[in-house]
Amino acid sequence: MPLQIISATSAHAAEINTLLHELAAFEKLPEGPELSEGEIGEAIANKNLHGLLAYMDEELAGFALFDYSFCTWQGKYMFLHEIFVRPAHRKHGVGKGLWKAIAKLAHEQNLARIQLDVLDWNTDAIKFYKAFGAVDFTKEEGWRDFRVPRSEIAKFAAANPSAAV
Amino acid sequence: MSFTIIPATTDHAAVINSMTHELAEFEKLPKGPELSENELREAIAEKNLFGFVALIEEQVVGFVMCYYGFSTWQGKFIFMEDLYVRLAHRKGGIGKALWKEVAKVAFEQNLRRIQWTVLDWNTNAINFYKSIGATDMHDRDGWLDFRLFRPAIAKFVGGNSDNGV
Repeated sequence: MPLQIISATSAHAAEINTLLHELAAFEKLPEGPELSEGEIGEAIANKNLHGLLAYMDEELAGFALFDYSFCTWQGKYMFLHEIFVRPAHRKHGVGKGLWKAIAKLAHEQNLARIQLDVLDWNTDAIKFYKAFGAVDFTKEEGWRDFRVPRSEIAKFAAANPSAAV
Repeated sequence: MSFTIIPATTDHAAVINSMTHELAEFEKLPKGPELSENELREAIAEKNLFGFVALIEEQVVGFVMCYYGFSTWQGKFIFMEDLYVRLAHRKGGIGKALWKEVAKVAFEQNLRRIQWTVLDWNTNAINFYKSIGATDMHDRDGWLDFRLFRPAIAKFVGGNSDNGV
């Protein structure tokens, strides 16, 4: 069978974990993924995370992972955390198939938007997303993604309330 | 003048809605907020949004609104959507106190990060965030924020699959 796309269950945690690491290596951020396979399985079981898996001739070819959030400006939206096609399975419509399945889910729920991050050097991905009508919001409005890691949170949360700013 | 910080409740929906619009004006994106006061109220009631308000003599002078997301790399995290202190009440430590309440929530749940976006021209905010240990993820890794909005989703889902993509 050519392309088959299915919804992920917690039973797919190992496959998802493998693809997560392959994608992180491609993104030159191999230390990025910190979750264990067990945590991934649990997240899917608890519906904190959702996924789609793509198979080409029954071989694992790619995936998409997403969750739902609620923003003060537009309400419920989908955050697409990962979308990845293994190099050996590229140029066969797998990426488009995954993207289409994602868009259908968002459309059925009448969501205000799908949001995702992409690395500025990943010109293939940028072209792919723009071809489907996605907008570079960093460029368009100037938004920059800021983060505070656990170590800094701990420092701040535990700090003396009368400490100098 | 001394202030107090309390959790935001549905009773604060009206004033939070006003201040969301004030903040959007400041951000030069006055058309950004699309939610009605009722939708905001409902979101707080259903815990899709949570936050804190700062009070001086029972008047709300600032607020922070957040929601939870789930990252495939780091698990549950807080997305801080809006942090705002009315102009007349700046430089009194209110912003930092609101931020501290968010940090405490993250700390108590041992979350791996707090995340938000900031406009690239908002140097005051950027300086504040860097002073509390935040990292600009575009500077660090090159991440860009991409979005596909509802009309483009609908177009893609309803479109001709032979659109040359």
